[in-house]
Amino acid sequence: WKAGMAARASALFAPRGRDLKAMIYGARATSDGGAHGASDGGGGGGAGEGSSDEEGGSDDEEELFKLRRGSGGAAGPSGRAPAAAAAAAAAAASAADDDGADTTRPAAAGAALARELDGRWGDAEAVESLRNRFVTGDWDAAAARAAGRGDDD
Amino acid sequence: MLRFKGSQQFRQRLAFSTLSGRPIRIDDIRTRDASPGLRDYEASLLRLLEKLTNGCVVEINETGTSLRYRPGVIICGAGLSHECPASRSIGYFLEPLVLLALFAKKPLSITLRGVTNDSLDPSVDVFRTVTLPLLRRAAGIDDALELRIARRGARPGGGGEVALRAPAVKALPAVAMVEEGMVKRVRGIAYSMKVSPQNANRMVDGARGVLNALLADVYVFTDSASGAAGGASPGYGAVLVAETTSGALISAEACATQGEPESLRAPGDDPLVVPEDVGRAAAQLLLDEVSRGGVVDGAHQGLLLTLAALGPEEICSLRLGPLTPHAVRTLRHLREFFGVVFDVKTDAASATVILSCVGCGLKNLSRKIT
Repeated sequence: WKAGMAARASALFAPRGRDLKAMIYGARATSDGGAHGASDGGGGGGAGEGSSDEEGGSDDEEELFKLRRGSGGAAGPSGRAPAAAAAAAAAAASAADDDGADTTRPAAAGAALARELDGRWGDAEAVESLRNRFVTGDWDAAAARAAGRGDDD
Repeated sequence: MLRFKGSQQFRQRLAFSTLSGRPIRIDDIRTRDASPGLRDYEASLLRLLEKLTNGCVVEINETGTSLRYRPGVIICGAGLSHECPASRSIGYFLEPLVLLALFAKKPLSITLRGVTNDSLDPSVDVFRTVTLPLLRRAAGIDDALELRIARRGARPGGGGEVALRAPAVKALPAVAMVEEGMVKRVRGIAYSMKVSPQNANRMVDGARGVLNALLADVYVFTDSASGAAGGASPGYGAVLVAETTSGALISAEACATQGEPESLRAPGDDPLVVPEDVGRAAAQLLLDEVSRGGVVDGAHQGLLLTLAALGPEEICSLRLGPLTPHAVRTLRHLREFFGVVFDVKTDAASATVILSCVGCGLKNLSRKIT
């Protein structure tokens, strides 16, 4: 399994739009399409499956009876490359079991999430890094950001 | 007939089926669960659909694990009411409801009773302050779209009441929302039900403590409901909305209520209790959403993608942050039901995704031409 690891990792984290599209549309939502759709999703779909295998396979293998929990999959953490984060979301969407909680809300704030949020936004530097997204920041930097229209394939 | 598996995206499948007129069949609904089959809130949603449409056929097997749905004509109309079970909040029902109401024969006016604010679904405050303005903007509706919160209700007792009015449209306009803009102000509501009004002020303090480092224009309203207006159970929470210079609305919320039956929370994770913590969590979630980027927050990605896909046969383009699992599933369902495939481009500099599509040009056939 080590053979394709580097290739899978690079496929997962490379910001490539084509693969992202393949990852989103790789697995069909209807049961007719089945899991076969994922295989012709190319490198993107394969990478998505690979990552979910790595996550799930490690400790669930020897457990015959595992607790089924309804989880809609956590939202992709911010600050990563968009393709990687969206790829994680796509993998979560296909890997999450079919009976997850049906909600649009990304996260419910409990004590664990509050601690995670404090870790992320607790220090002033992290908050300051968002300065250019607010009107109190640098307008030129925001204009440069808004000018981006995506990388063409 | 489209076939699906599992209870995921149940509302969306029913709503898309009704809009597209294509019958669906869902199998394996919680077959491996301790209590298999449909839940009470899903049955309640089916009853709500029967109230709104004419001639729909719902067939459920004995164990409730598979369902066949043949959609009818969307009628809607005034003077309707619906009791939502306490297992899910009113937000769960509002999301598909407002989408169907746009393509109804008559304008919708409905009263919903149940839990108004919880930590699982978007609360009625987010719906009123973010979802409806987004619909007004993307669907080109000027008036007659409003949500009035008559009473608040927290879990487990519920007892809240909201009234929704929504007009019917003939067709949706093309959506072009690419400009994120910069956050110019933050508004919010700190609500409390059947507890001391001081809790609302303490949540405001918690939220301002985080956000005032970046922006002075932060104003959080307090709404302390007591007596009959406070429903049947105590609870409190905060909703924050960031407005940008391009008119985009980004929301985040946190609340302290009790007794979620199917929470997204991991086992052993305690709910938030201290009001300052609730306010701070809401503010930090808002920073999360702002840092993700895009013209809407994570909770509204699916709705905006749906509106774009149902629009006219023109190019629609949207800028969204990293897609949530719900948005990815929405994209897949839009392809299944309407044949709309989005083109996805990633913008590495801003860490956002630009999605463009040609809408399916859905027309409201039942509305009389005026």
